[in-house]
Amino acid sequence: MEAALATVDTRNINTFYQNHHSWLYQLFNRKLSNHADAADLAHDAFIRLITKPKFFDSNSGARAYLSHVARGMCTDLWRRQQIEHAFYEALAECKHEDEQSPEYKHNIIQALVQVDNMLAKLPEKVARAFWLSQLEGKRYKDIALELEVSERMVKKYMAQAMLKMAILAARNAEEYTKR
Amino acid sequence: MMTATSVNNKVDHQRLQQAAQWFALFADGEINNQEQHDFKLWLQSKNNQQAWHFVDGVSQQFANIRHSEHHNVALNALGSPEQARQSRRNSLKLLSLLPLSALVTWAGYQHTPFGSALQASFAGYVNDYATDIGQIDHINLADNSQISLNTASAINVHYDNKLRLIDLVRGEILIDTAKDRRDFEVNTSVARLRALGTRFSVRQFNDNKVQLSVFDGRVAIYRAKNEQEHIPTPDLISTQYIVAAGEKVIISNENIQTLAPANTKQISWQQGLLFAEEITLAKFIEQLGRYRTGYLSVSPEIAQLRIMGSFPINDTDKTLAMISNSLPIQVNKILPWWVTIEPK
Repeated sequence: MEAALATVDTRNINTFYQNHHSWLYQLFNRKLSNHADAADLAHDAFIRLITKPKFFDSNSGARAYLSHVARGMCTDLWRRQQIEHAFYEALAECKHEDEQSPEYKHNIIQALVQVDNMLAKLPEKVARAFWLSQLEGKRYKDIALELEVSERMVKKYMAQAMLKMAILAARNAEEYTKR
Repeated sequence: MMTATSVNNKVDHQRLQQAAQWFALFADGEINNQEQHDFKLWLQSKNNQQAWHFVDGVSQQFANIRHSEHHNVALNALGSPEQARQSRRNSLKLLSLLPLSALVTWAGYQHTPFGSALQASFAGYVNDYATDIGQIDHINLADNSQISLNTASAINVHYDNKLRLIDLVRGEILIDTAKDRRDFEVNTSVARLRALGTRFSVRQFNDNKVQLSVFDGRVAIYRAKNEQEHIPTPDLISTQYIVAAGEKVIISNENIQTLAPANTKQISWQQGLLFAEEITLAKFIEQLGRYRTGYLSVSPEIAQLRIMGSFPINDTDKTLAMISNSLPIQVNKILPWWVTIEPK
């Protein structure tokens, strides 16, 4: 039955999993040199294909896609680890480090990763302006001085940054709802 | 379904752009009364609200970090945006895979008519009496006049020695005036209304039009003198126009239009009911939408179905369930605030 189909449909998740999981796991393992992370990411990749099914014309097409997705996931993981590491290091210098619950720390890191992810998609000055305003609470006139642009330009940067991120959120929400 | 979605996307881009511009205006601190007013008007549109939710959701994520106890620690961890970019430089990021958790947070986010992030900015801007979307309120004034506020309505009350004046800021009110030596007047965006009788309802539309329905007595429409300069006033209402009991009119800057007779069923909202008398589903949903936050749409195939009965407006979910039982329709709740109605 499956063989008769010309296309690869990820909704046949059992078949798809059998054909590609161990290959994908190896790929992650090579990139990350860590069995546990590799297993996690391979698992996540399949979860995504369950929630958002895809069609491919062949198994090699499917693998091209998977390796592309894998690359992005590795970058995200590395950046996440970087943020996590830096956060714990900075936290260690604070006095009351242990008073915070693991859940609280996890949430903050999660929030940081999301914010980082969004800012990374913006042009440098735009991201900087948004950062200064929304994370450091600076006024436009101070940001203007710092970036050596006009106050009006800062406002423009802010709108530009927000538009890009809102579009991203809208797009993601829609994909989420089409599940 | 596909085409409807892509049309929506187009509309949304423009609205998202507007929403982002509002955000950029607010992000620098205080805004003036005019800006508040303009924003509120803009936000009265359902589609604009939808766009604003995304903007609000994004700004919320930043606010969460800014307000966290370890704000500074967190910022250090993130490094500057430049550093972040550096660490990604060699990576191809063609796919944006926002973590699923972000979406869940977003979906569970508490939606209010005004984005919560902005709620604080509006704290200082309060009307005497106001209702939220879906809320109905009854007020007893000092002179024993009674006012019911329909959904998403606001009024200011100015009583002095000579005049009882109600400022209708937005929405719809039903008034039962009490006997008093002072005149009773309602100020709207296009005209001043003076009660010559006892019972009437006034609805202020977003597009500056005003609907007046008189159930008992009469109401005179006239322009306040200081407003005459910038309103082109045709002869018809240059001085005064009397609306009698049982009449319903739409007042605009240009003219006064008489509509179908005023029917007390149209004020069944006062009892918390939405009354449908053989109206189309599309029309019904439009009316129900006034009492509900978020996006509510009907697919064209079923828009012309007829509906009849009275339905609770304080529980629009229940109303939707009721109509889906009696009509060949299916109510899809995509998100708490996003509902589409489709053929079964």
